[in-house]
Amino acid sequence: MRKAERSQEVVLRLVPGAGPAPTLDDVYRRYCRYVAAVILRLDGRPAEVDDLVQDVFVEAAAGIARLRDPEAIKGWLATIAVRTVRHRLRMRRAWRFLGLERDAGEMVLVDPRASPADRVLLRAVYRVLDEMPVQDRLAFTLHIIEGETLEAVAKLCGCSLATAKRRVARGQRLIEQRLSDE
Amino acid sequence: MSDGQDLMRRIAGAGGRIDPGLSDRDVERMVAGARRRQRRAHMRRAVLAVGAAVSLALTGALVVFHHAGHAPGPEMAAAPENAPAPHAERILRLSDGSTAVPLDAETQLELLEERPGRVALSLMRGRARFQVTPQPKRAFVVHAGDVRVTVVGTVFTVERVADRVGVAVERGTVRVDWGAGSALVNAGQNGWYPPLATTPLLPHARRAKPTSLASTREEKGEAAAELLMAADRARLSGHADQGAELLRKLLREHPDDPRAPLAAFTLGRLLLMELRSPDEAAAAFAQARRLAPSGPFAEDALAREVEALSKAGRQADARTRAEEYQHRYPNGRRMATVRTAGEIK
Repeated sequence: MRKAERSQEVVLRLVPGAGPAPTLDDVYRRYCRYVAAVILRLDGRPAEVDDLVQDVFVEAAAGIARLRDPEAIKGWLATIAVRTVRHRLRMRRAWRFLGLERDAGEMVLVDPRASPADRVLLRAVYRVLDEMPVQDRLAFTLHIIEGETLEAVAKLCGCSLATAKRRVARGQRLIEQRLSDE
Repeated sequence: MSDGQDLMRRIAGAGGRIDPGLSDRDVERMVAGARRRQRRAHMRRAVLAVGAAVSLALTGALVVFHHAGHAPGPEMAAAPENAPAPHAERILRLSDGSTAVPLDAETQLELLEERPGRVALSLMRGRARFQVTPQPKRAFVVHAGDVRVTVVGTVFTVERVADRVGVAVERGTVRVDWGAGSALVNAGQNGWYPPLATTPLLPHARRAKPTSLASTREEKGEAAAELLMAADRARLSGHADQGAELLRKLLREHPDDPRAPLAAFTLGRLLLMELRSPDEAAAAFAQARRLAPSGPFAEDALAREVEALSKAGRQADARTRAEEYQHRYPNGRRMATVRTAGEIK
């Protein structure tokens, strides 16, 4: 995940096979910003990041002792993050259907140095993402915003490459359609 | 580059600016939060594991609820994070290996009858987990107020809240009947019965044309019911904060709905036992009493308010409420807890 990596301030240096396996707290601290960045881009709601990050780490706690390679940890956490956000997005859609959704509050935290045009664009994009089927939204966000290859998108979403391509394409069409209407 | 490609390129560029901007303090807060959730999840697994350690041959079972009116009772929830482990010293063990395990400190369970052809227990308050050795020629009955549970052999938990009954099945399949309908609850599933939106439609019945006022009332009632249902789902799926928000919405928008006292009491329990907000919990329990001062929750709500005030460090208020409880309910079933929390004799 190239963009999430760039947002990291701490560089992990773990030599595979050397020393004890990372403790849970080690993992939490090292990857917290990374996981939070992934979640924010997928979910779009800063107010939910705390909650979702904690959910991811609780799920990760079960298998962490078996992992030693740092790259494996990151990809593994990313898969859990995608799954966790998928569940949250589905619940949000169900509540929206019942008319129970809370006020979204601020959507998407953007670097204060971003241009006004970027901010306007992202607000518009995330409004459309909220309309999109959850699977298409995740695939689109992972490929376009996170910069993941289609193969990586397929792996993270637990689908075939062909399915990942279709979902990304549907997401792109909807975004193009909606944004061209504005 | 086409317009579409250009747009995607711009989105990708702008997306790189999305960052939560976490400080070290934010990270520590999230780390601490994750650890707390892990402990809660571990405690829930431990509670279930105690029962699973008992060796049973399980078959599917028929559970018939004879729902006969409104009965008071607590609310169904996932095992609260501060729930005590099952009380080993109070486990009822029958001669065939069946067990009845109290799950709360206040649970009152009594063996009424044990004969070769019939076993009967009474769940007077709280929650209990039953593991029943299958014996086709023997009736195993649990009485819970006006509700009767008859089983053949399964592992399930029953909890009462007002006129609703919560059923969680760990093994086997349970059928729940509430008169107007029925449902199968399989292993790993749970639910509340009767379901909230169960206005039976009588075939061939003539329906009067609703007035606008009546239809507005009906719509509001359905909205309140949906909120309560959504809150239950949120709680049972582990999203206590969202469940609390839905209950607050119900209380704000439907304060006159007959379900409002239940919503306030449920909110109080959620805040006290899962969200660790004893101050707000005390207010919710007080609201439950204001909405229904003579209702089925009033005594429990006052007792819980004492507990919440004590946990919030408001000991003087806790004592005042405890004295009120003593006065209103001299033979109250929560007297011991109230005296301890309120620090009165």
